[in-house]
Amino acid sequence: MLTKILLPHRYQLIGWILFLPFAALLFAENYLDFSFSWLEFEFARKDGFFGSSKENFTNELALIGVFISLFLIAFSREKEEDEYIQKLRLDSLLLACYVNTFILILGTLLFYSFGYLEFMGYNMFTIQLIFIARFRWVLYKQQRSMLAF
Amino acid sequence: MLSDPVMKNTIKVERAKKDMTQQDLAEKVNVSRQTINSIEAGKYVPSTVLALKIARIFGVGLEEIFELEEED
Repeated sequence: MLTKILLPHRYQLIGWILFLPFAALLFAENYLDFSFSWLEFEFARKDGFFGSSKENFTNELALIGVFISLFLIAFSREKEEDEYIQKLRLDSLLLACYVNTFILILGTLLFYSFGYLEFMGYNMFTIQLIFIARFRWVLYKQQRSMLAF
Repeated sequence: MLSDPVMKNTIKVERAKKDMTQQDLAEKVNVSRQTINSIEAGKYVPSTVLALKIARIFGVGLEEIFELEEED
């Protein structure tokens, strides 16, 4: 039985189009100190331990943008979604979860304090990225082997 | 110990008899060409529903197309 909880195929393209600008924004925000001034809000929190009451939400925008675009890419229907494609999909998802667990264990042993925080930050994307890479790779290999006939 | 039997199929032969391409068959049973390709190559075992649909297209019984075979 085919699952009904996948998004329509066209969302995949939307996901790819959104992914690059949001990923670039996330990179710029993290490493080049870039931020949108219109996303700066006063009284986002009380003055205190974590600094002033001002908060810039560029980081939140970039993160949510990347999450949503990866979600759209990963969980949109293929043009010809059928039971075999769904098996590949499920296999890839399982593999992504395995690798994620492995990376978690490795990271926990290798990184400490702020390094660990940064590692966990990147690790938020592992499942989606590995799933997309593996699923696309298998589909690509299939296409190639069919052309050989 | 006996190993698990694998499923073989004669889809390729049946297609040749009816002069059908993988794409023709795929369209008739409403799946992608990749799926037919993988079934023929023995890489994917179709669901019962799909197997029944394929048998119906060829107008033969299920067991004339799919059968279990002991692996060496």
